[in-house]
Amino acid sequence: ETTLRAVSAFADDTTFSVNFQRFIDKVNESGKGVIQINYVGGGGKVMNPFELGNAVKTGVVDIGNLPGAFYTNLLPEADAIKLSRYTIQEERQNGAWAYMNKLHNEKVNAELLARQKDCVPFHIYLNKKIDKPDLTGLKIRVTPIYRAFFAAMGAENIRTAPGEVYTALERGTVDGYGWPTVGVLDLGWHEVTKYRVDPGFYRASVEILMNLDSWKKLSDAERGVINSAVQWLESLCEEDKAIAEKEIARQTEAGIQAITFEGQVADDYLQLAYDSGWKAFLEANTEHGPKLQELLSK
Amino acid sequence: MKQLASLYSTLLDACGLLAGFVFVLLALFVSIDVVIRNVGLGNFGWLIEISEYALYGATFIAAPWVLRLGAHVRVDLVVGNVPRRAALALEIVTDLIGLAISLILFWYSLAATIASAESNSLIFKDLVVTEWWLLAVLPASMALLAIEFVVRLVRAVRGRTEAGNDTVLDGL
Amino acid sequence: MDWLSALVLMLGLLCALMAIGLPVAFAFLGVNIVGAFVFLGGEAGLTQLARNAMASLTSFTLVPIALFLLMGEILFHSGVAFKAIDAVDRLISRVPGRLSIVSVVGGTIFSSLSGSTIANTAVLGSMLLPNMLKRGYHPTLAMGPIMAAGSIAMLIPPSALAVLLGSLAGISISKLLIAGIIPGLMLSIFFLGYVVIRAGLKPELAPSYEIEAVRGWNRWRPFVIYVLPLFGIFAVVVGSILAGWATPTESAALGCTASAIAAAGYRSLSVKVMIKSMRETAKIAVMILFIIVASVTFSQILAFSGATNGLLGVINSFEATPFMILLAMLVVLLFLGAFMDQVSMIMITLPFFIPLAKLVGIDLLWLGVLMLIVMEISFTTPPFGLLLYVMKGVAPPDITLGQIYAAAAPFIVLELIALAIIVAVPDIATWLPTIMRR
Ligand code: NA
Ligand code: NA
Repeated sequence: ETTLRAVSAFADDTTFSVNFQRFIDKVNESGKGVIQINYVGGGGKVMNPFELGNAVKTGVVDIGNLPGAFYTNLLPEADAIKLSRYTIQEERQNGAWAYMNKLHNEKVNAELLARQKDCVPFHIYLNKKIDKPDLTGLKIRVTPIYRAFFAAMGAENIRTAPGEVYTALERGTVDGYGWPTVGVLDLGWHEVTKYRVDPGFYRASVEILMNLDSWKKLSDAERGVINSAVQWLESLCEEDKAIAEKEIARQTEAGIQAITFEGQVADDYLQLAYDSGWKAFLEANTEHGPKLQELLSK
Repeated sequence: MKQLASLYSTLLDACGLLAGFVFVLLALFVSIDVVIRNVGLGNFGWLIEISEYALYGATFIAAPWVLRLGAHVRVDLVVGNVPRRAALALEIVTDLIGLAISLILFWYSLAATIASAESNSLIFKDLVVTEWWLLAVLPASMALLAIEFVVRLVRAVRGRTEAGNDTVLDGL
Repeated sequence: MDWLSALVLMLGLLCALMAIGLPVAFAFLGVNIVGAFVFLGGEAGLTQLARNAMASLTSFTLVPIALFLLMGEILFHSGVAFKAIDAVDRLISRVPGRLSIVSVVGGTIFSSLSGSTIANTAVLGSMLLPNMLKRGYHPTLAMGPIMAAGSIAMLIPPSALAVLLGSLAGISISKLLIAGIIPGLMLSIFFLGYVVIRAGLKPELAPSYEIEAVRGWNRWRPFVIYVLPLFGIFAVVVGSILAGWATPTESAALGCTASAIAAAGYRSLSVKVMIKSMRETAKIAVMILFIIVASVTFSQILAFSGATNGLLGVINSFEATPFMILLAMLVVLLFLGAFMDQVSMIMITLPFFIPLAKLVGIDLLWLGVLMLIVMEISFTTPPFGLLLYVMKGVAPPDITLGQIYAAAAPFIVLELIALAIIVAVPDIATWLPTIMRR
């Protein structure tokens, strides 16, 4: 019986760890006597989240649960995952996953095992009302995920340490921030947020990486157990959408109003999100950029 | 030899002063950032990132100097309450352990630095920073710490314990 | 390896290395090397260990630790702090225990300007102690109040330790800083009360003496010139946080700038003063940050090995009430505090305390303040108490460490009483932060 060690970049039982933990339970249940996963834990108490990619690469950890943005130091191309217009099932069909997996093999020494939270997008959250997709004159807290898009909308991009975002929103140092549909309430930021801009953009997905040596060592029976759990994990899109709906209802209850763009405005808004995102991506990734854009765009 | 020793001392002193200077610069720039932001002149987007690297760099660069001053806090319960000979023996043991720790960390931080340089890792935040430039601070710091432990060791073997002179005064 | 063996290996080795006198940071690093090899997996684990050293320090929330220290050092080395205490000295009239009262009042004022207990104690000790001993003060009433008032610096903001605790425990740093104000003032009043009563009952412990009679404006003038303007610095640091204008890091930077401006205003700022302040800040800040590097990784390896969860599981299985768990935490901290410094205390206990407190529903802000008070107590509990050594350093050579221990004892009792009161009435700690601007 093989035992693998798994770590999540997010704290135990929080939005982006829950399904990963369920995935592990699934493997441990169906893999009795064949393969087991020892879930070591999640978040900063176990490992600096930005070191998890390297830990998977070197085999300190066998399986890691982390978004592409957390290991761009190892694989800058991981940044393109957020820009994909396809579901993971479609990507496995059209060659996009295979291309990305090859890059993971080569540069991260990892198998791109699975993707979760595939159906959850990002949003702009604001404290000042806007009536068109224009952030001119607004100070928006960014991470590298949003920088190009928000800049293209005329925002003044501001970097704020994670622990200081609440205070910064509270006293108006920043007028807004980017975040997935889910998770705002976990952080308590709903107390200092007035608006959410719809529709959402990009994919707030989390990747599950497995050390390539550990992956290669697995027998067919062991891979079978893992693969069927992966299939289950990647089928949770509808469930995730329902969870996001509930989260939106809770946001509304907490006083966050929706600013909704419709029709052509919404289309233009999304087009700008992807165009600006790809533009920045292509500038930084001349080698694999064009091919990835072709594979991931519709 | 004597010249080399004094050159080394000067180097350590400079490292300490540099760390202090970095903290003064941080105070200055963060203050300016607050003011210009509040009068609506924008902000230094790179300041947080630079501050983080500066804090890390200053700490590792100045750690050997702090060891030279004997200002790394230690629990002197045992050392302070045993006969002189025993205290000397303990000093030798701790210096040897300290030396081993510094050498092991020197080796593996060097390995981490080389691995990062070979795979050309870049850190993408506001700035794009070559990762191994940052990691290289570690082996440099560990090498200086190892030298400093050797100096302490030599002193202890010659029969002079530094435990009595260590400034346990320097705390919080 | 099962979790219990892992726990015994990690903690046992740590204690052994600390006990033989290896500097605390290196004791952590040594255990980390063994732990990384065993639990993270051989050489790959050791390389990861090296990378973690960088990752654990590149954090903006740790910046105020250095800046709050810098503030205190600027005011100390420029002599501004001395002038302020001298001005307080003029105000207090001829009463028994006069100089003890000056040290408590002056120490409390300087506490609001400095995040460093060492600077605070050193200022008071070098300024007031020689005079006290010359006047025939009993060592208890001479050194006790100085150490006690010195240690308040970490409770009343600015406080480097509160920032450290808040950032590592995930407690709002602004709230924790603000929460320390009332308990700090309460302690200061306790100390004053004790000094007045003790010197009143036994005047020979602190003989009163004739002081130059300064009347009217001349008596108040130094206070107005050298103390009142300094409250501007406190207002900048605390006010900017209270009003919600500045993050803790920004308030620390503003505090440094304000201190430098104040020193310049008194024509006491020079390149020499700045260099001295820079060196002293670097020495202490680097010492603290280096321990942080080592101990953050220590607690991560401990969690990685399964020891943290294993121990929590056992504690949980006792089904103790939250109150009993809180008491157990405080006792453990008091015990550790007798032997080690404040940063190590935080580092060793947090990986267990925070998950445990969340599990049983103990208010983290309240727990944070209680932890700060225990850490304050541990500054003067023998055998290892930093302020005891500072006192030894500034006292005349004929004062023994035993006398210093004895001098601290009554004040430790007062601090324990204050701790008990805040355990019973959490509002003392948590009320002020709740009225902060939302
Ligand atoms: Na203070
Ligand atoms: Na103590």
